[in-house]
Amino acid sequence: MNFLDAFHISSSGLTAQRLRMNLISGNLANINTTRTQQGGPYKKKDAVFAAHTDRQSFGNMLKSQMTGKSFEVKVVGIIDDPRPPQLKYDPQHPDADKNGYVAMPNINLIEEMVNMMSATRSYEANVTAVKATKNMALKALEIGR
Amino acid sequence: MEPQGIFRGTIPLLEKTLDLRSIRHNLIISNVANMDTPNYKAFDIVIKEELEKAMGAGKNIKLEKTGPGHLSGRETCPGNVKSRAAGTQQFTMKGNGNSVDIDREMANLSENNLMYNALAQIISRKFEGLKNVIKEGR
Repeated sequence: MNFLDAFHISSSGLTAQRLRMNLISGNLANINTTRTQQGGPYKKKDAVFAAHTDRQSFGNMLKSQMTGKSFEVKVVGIIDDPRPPQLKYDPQHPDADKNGYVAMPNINLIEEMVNMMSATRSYEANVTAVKATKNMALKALEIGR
Repeated sequence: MEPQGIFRGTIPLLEKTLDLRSIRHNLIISNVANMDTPNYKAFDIVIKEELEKAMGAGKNIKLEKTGPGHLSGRETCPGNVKSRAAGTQQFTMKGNGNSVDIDREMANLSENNLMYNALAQIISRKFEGLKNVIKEGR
């Protein structure tokens, strides 16, 4: 049924945006973290999204041929931002190097806030899409009542 | 199989349009879900040209005229209109190669939703009318 597909697509979008939001919260919480298990300062995390369509089975292949393309969002990985850590002069800090510089996480507060707004809006758009799908499905059930 | 009798005419047409609207809904929401996916290109359904092809296929049914003042009607049932998905505008306003314009998609979403509801209501009324006739208006 078409509407179940629609719900799956929107829920994949909701999941992806929620994950992104979690990563942003993690980045904001760790904006001053200088010690991690891997050693060195915390690195900014980011999610990689990919448009995904499952064409493995015959049924899915047939469906995509009959109803056209539609893509779910798939999170293909969580990456560490490769930007170098920001150096801050603080000789009193226990993690300072011999020149007195502390390697702070490569997180830009403004960038995180902007990404957070973007994730919120994307999430809201997907919620609206779910509502619209539900509305349409209910209307279809009313036919012939 | 072509529907016969009282179910011929507008009902298959409405069915088909509901079908196409729900396909379009799926395309729109996959655009919305992928609004942050790098290099994703927005899709929309292309039915206008297919519809025109079907309308111009010579399947016109003439309305029977029993008086000189009657208007001639044109009724076709594009029962097998094909739809295909095509990329919309391919230029992008974002740095990551994504071409989803969220304003346009949300507008399309609500337009499509309204049209779907309208069609569902029309088909519902159609059945109500038939029921009324069958029960002789009682």
